Amino acid sequence: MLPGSVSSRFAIALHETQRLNSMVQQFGKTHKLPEKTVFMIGLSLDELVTNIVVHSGSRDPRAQEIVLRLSSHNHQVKAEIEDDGIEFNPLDMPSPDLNAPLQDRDIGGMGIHLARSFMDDICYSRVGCRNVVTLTKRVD
Amino acid sequence: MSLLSPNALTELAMNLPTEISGTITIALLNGQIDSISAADLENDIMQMLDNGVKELLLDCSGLDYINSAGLRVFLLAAKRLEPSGGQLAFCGLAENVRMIFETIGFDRILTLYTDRDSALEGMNLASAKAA
Repeated sequence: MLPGSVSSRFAIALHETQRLNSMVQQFGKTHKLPEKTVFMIGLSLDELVTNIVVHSGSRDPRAQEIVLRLSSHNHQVKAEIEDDGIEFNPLDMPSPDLNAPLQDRDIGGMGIHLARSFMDDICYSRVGCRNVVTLTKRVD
Repeated sequence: MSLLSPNALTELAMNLPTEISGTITIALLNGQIDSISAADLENDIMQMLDNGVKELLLDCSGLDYINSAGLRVFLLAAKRLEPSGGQLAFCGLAENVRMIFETIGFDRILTLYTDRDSALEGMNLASAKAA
């Protein structure tokens, strides 16, 4: 793994998740990250950004932009997602009951469950009028 | 002037390539299913169920990415087929896709096969037992 960082701005739109995934793929190649790690980070960011678009894009004050910062150093990748929408903590969403039988399985909450499972740490903070979600993934 | 029958229109509206094997409909999932393409997937699968498909095999061998928007469609389809004794099964999951299925617990509530041959065999066996 090579150390380094990159950042980019995204509009509040679902199609931006495709550009976001390309950015993560490129970051993985440039910094020689394991393919599986890149996949897990890409999916987790996709889920969290989709949540922001769905939840914060429709309620006032509406988010105007998402800023993503990726960095790799000291055997870990850190991803920071920042948006300027209404206060929204994705970690407050309930986790699905994985032991429930088919008919009782909830169709919501799967994205955040995947992100929590694939990352080593996810934390949320409200900084001024911005939501900041930080994801950490160890790279061995 | 329209030369298309309602059935032809239905076929034209489908994005998913499908094949028929006996009583089983096989749909081939390819590439990436994300928050945008999941809407087309939902339309196609629900349209198949509306048209009376009861045994559906989703061949995922060409699928390399799926997020929760796509998983939601699978869950909706499985929930809809179960009460009527229908079958929804999956085969050919790539390693990353299988990892997602297992992480979300789909391996406990959905039927997964390694490849298409074992899926058809398993599904035929299940429908013979049910008959």
